Amino acid sequence: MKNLFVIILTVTIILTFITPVFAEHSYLIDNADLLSDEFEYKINKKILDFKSRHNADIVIVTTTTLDGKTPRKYADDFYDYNGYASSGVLLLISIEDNDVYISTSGNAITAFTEYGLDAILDEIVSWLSNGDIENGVNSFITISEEYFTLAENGNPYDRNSVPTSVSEYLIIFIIIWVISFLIALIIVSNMKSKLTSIHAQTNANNYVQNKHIELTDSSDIYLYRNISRVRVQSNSGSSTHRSSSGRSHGGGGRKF
Amino acid sequence: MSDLLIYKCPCCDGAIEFDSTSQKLKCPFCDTEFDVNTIEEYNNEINSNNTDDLNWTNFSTDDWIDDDSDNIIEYSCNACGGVIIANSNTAATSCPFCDNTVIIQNKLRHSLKPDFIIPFKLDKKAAKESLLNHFKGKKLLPKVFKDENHIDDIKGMYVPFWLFNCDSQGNARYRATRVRTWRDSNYIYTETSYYLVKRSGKMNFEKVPVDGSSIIDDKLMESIEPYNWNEIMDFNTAYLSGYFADKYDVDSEATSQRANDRIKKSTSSALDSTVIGYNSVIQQNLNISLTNTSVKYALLPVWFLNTTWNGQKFIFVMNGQTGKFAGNLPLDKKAYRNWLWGLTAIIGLIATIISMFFI
Repeated sequence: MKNLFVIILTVTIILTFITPVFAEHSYLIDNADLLSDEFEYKINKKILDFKSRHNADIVIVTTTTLDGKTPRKYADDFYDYNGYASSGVLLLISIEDNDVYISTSGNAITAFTEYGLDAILDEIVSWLSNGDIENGVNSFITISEEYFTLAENGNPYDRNSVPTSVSEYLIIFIIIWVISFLIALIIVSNMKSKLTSIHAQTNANNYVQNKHIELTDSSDIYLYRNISRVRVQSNSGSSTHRSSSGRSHGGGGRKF
Repeated sequence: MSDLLIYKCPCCDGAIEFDSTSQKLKCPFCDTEFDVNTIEEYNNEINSNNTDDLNWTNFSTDDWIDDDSDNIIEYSCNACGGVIIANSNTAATSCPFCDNTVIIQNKLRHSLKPDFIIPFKLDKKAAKESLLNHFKGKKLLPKVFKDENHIDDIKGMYVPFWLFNCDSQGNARYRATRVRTWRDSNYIYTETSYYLVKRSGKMNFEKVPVDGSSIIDDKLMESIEPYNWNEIMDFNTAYLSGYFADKYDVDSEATSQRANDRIKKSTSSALDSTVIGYNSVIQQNLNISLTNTSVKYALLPVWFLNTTWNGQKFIFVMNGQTGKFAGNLPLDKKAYRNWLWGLTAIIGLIATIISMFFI
């Protein structure tokens, strides 16, 4: 009897704490109704697993309208004003104008580098443009988890972080050997040049008395000047920006 | 006189018209504005293109006098046409240039007597050591080349040189620019200022040597320069004892072009080095005039070694005063390939291993 009480109490306490999490934070908001219920259930489970491993949120939002906002502003605001964790990443799919946008916050900003954003957007857009929303969302979650894991190991996915394919290895290998050959050629040519010691003299510097030229006349006349100007390149869409709530976000987007 | 003067624009070479009423100078083609004095000075300068004055005077004129000529014998080689002189107690048995033994002894024919001589300072032993040193550390030299060398055939010979003395006055004109950049929030600005730079200067050249023998390669002789003129002596036939002397066959006027080229180059680079504080400098005009010129005839000491290897002739020379050695050596092609591929393999392997830590 006492045991039963303890079990009931425990379950009650757990439910009290967990239920609000489900209630308040929905991680998959399919306002455009692009996804099946079965898929939503699977994805929600996947996101919760992710949350437990990385202490960060993954949010997926589909919408039919951006309410006149830019995709970036819509995504940032959505993340900021719905009480998600300080670190996290949000995928926005808007069918109003075929926009896809990824907004990052907190640790996700470092996990999703410019290069990483490009790569993940490539992948998602390739699914979305074929109308396969579910696979797009799926690969977003899979790749996001990879990025988080790499960043937690202190090595965020970036340009120099790994050649992946065999052909890239092959290219690097060929470059290494071509450069090695050129270095060897320079060394051997230097050895070869030591065999030649006959060189014509081009000047008579050895026979100058006093070693210096005695200047008899010297003038520097200013003629005219040109001024040209080039517009300063403004940094486009890189690094971080502030959203209306004042929080810092990273991210990037495309059309599909 | 018309009150309309026509000048050239320094910027685009177009004709700038100066109207005395407006008191302003503006190029109608490129819209650049100029100061009146600047344009005047610029146009005066570009119109005063002097030409080089490279005339040599005061050539050496002393002939052998009878006393001397009795002591001097001239030999000529039937095979290569080389002509050498020696004093009467030094008998030539083979031609020092081609090793041919058919040489003819003549009485000295009319020619100039040298003004100066630098006596041999380094002997045959030093010349041999220098040759062996020359072979050292040369990994691509065929090994058999060293072994097969007839090192004993080394010969000391006085080589005729013309020595050119002069004061060189150089006038050079440059177009130079100074570049300044700055930026504000919208633009990066680059300001390029153009200058007309003039430099004139004087240099004194003493005893610029040019080989006066057509049979000896000029490049070979220039390779063992310089000589130390502090040890030069007035010529005396006694110095010839034991050595041959090549007789000049290119006169001083014919060789003066070589001296001119070298003097001009030195003067030009000395003037260039005085143009400082600019971002770019282009020499636009240069002229040289020589004064106080004189040309002297001197015999300078050179050790020669002729050797034949694999049907190819090799000649080595050593400065008989300073010991400077010159001569091209044959290449061991097999060693060249081995080194090239061996080094490629070693460097490539090391680079591959290192790269594995990063991939």
